[in-house]
Amino acid sequence: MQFTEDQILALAPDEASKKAGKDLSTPSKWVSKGMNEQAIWGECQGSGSKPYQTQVDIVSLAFKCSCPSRKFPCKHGLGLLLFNARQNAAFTDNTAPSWVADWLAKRTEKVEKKAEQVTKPVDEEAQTKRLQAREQLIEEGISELLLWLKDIVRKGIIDIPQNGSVAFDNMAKRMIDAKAPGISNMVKSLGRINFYKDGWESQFLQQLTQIYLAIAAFKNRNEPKRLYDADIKTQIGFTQNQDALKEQSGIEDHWLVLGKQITEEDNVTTERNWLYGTTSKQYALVLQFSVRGQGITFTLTPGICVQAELVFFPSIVPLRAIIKKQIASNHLALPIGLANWQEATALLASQKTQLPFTIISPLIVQQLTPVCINNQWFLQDALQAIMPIYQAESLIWKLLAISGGQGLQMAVLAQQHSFFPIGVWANDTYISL
Amino acid sequence: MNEWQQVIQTALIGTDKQTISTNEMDENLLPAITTITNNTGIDKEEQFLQIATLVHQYTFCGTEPIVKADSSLPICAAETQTYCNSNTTNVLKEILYEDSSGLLAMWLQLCASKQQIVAPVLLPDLFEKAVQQKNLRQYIACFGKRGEWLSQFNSTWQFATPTSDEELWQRGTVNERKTVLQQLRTTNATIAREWLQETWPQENAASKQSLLEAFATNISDADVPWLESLTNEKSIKVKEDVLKLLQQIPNSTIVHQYTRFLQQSLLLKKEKTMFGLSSKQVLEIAVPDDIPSQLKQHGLESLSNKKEFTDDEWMVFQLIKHVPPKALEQHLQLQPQNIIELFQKEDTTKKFISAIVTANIRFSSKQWAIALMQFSNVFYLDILPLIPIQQQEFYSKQFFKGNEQSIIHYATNRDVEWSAELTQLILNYTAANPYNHSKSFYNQHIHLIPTQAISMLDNCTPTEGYASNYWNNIKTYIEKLLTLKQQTIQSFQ
Repeated sequence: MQFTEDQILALAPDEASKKAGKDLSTPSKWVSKGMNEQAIWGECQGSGSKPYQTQVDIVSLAFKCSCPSRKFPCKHGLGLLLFNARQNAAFTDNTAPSWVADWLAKRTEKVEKKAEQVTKPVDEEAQTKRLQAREQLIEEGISELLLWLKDIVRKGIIDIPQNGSVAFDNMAKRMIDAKAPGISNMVKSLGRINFYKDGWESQFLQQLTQIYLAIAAFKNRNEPKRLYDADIKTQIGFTQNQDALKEQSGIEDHWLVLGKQITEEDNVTTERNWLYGTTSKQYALVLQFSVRGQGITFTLTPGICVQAELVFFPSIVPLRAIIKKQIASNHLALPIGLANWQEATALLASQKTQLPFTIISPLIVQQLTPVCINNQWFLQDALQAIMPIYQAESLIWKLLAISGGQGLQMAVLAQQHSFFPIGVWANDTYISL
Repeated sequence: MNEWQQVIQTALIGTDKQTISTNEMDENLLPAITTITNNTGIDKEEQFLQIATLVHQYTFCGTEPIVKADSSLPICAAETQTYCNSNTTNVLKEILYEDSSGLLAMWLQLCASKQQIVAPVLLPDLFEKAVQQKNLRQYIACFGKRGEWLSQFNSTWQFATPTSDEELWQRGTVNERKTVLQQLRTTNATIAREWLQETWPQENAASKQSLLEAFATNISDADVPWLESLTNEKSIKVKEDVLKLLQQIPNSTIVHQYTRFLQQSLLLKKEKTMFGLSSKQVLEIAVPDDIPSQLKQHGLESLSNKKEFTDDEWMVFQLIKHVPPKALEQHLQLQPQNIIELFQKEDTTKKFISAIVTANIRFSSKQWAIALMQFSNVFYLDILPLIPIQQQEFYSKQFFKGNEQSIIHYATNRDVEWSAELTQLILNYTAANPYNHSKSFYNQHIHLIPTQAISMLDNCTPTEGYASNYWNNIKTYIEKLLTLKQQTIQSFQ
């Protein structure tokens, strides 16, 4: 499949790779090049004596290069794809050399082997013991946390901005000791609130209620129906065995990549990919982590559609998923989003009724137009109902320019009742923002 | 006050001092709140946390969008021109990424010449560039109707909203008025003068000075009466600026006075040589004693402060600087070539050539500029911009050695691409001194460098070995810019 330049650049792990990839997108850098229906390949003259052998599987979008770079994809992979996007006609050779054919064969073999792999038997007794010990630690930790929360509400939160973030950081560390990393993150985020911004009190209190909800949920985890078991574990920070998850059957669909957000903390890069199943109408969040450029298994870029099987993490409102099997990448038809904000808020309310924990929900809404009321930007639907844009400054001009006052189908991330646009459809083309 | 606000109020003060009031809570919430408050197994802090959690969930689930019927934006008018194709758009994206001001102006110029418009998604970035680089605003037509529509929402982009020149002249800032005046001086100098005459009494001294700068464009004899009426202005600075303008007009009274006095002070005489058998023409300096008082007032010095000039010579030197070279032709009844040769013939008169050069720059005579370049024994760099481009190239190459910085300075002020030979000379020099000509130099002037310069880069090396890595980085950058330039040209073909 043919990728646009924007889609290719969105694959770059960082700005430096983007720049270097662009520099390598000229014919003079490539000793040989070719493509067929399955792959694009080329030999790039680098600093070494032998040219680097770069190959891209364009069916399920995967890269391989003989260069020593730890980045993924490396600049050669990006450069080759960019070169191909710009001068497709220059790739006249369609007979894959042996090093490309071998790689493609190995990839197929690997997928089959994985399917055959048998998981080791689990020592259930030891596992139960470990779980009990951890729960004991969490119990102690959250009891301490509850006391700390009560202290805050007793004294009042008015002086919180003056106290700095040390208290939050210390309690967050205590929660790590208590083996509750999910709670730790929630506590840490209390200290990251912008106390100079109007409305910090509301944001702070909302977060406080979320922490309390997690504490209360964990304390009541043994209630008879155990409906929230998986969601409570997620809130506390229990990890899910992904191999076990992959053994389950998932949803096979054409998944449109709506957006990709990359954050970096403590040398760990987190890639959040927001997907939408064009047949199942299911939204999904696929997280991928990498340390020093290693660890990203699937290459996803906004605007492409991946034919894949996704397995969702257990939840009352399933959202997070893993890719069990990627079959192909292609461009597909336009999805039909929710008709208006009324439908969107009803959907969010229904999610919240089922699962009271705060989650970021992706949505596709039709006919949205940016409007300015009292110097504040909102998104207005076809019925002229408005909802606020989250962090509007960086996006509003691009949105306005694309819209020209006309309604656009938009992919947004709902965070409480603020909406962060991640992409729009203009002339049937998806533009990632 | 709604329920959530009540919760915040209590949270701010603390449960130690205030208990949450349930009186104003929604009646649907009351049964649940009563259950919480009746639970004696938990303390009041935990009761508050439970109520806060409950109210937050309730508020969230009940939030509905507000209908604002009167807030819609006007719809942008349909475009009348075609959008650039995807190749051209991708090149523009690259140019914006590389932040090359030279290439951006070139891209927009080509876009305007093809009567095409930019893809809407790139408009915000282009507007931001045009805020910084005012020269890009002349290509505002490339922003299309969408650009015009978009600019109304951002106060810093207002330059894209079409405002009539007259309206801008009446209501604009000093800078905007100056731009309007300057533009109008090039298209209709008479109207421009009339506009300025009308508002002149209401202008303060600072704006008068600023507007006079713009008025200098296309200055001509027609401006003399009005400018001469301003010689009694209150502000000394304005008066000086008016005088400077009058000194540029050959038919102004002041220039006539300079000319008349020069005619009296500089005479062409025949001198007998070879014991009277032959004769030659010589210049004689005979400054009259009565120097016109007005010329003295305008700074004409009667005493020389340079040892190579006598007082009379110094007077003539100053006069030549203020007299159009054309007037010298009429006075001496000689062609420019003969006048230059006449001055150069004697040691006592060759020092006046630089005054002729100054006068020529003031009155911008192309004919004299060419003559000075051809027949003067000294290369006068300042005349370079006055001569035709081919001759500029010729002299730039001929006198490059020893005048590198100045020739590069004039070459970068041109708007025509350099020839391959001149490019090679410039690149050799700039590569030899990479720390004086960094990436930003090439970024700004890449539109002047021909694309075939890519093949010249390998022949350029720094003088000092330690600078080679630095130069290699610059070289890669120039290659990148030249490739983009080539792509820009090709994509618009």
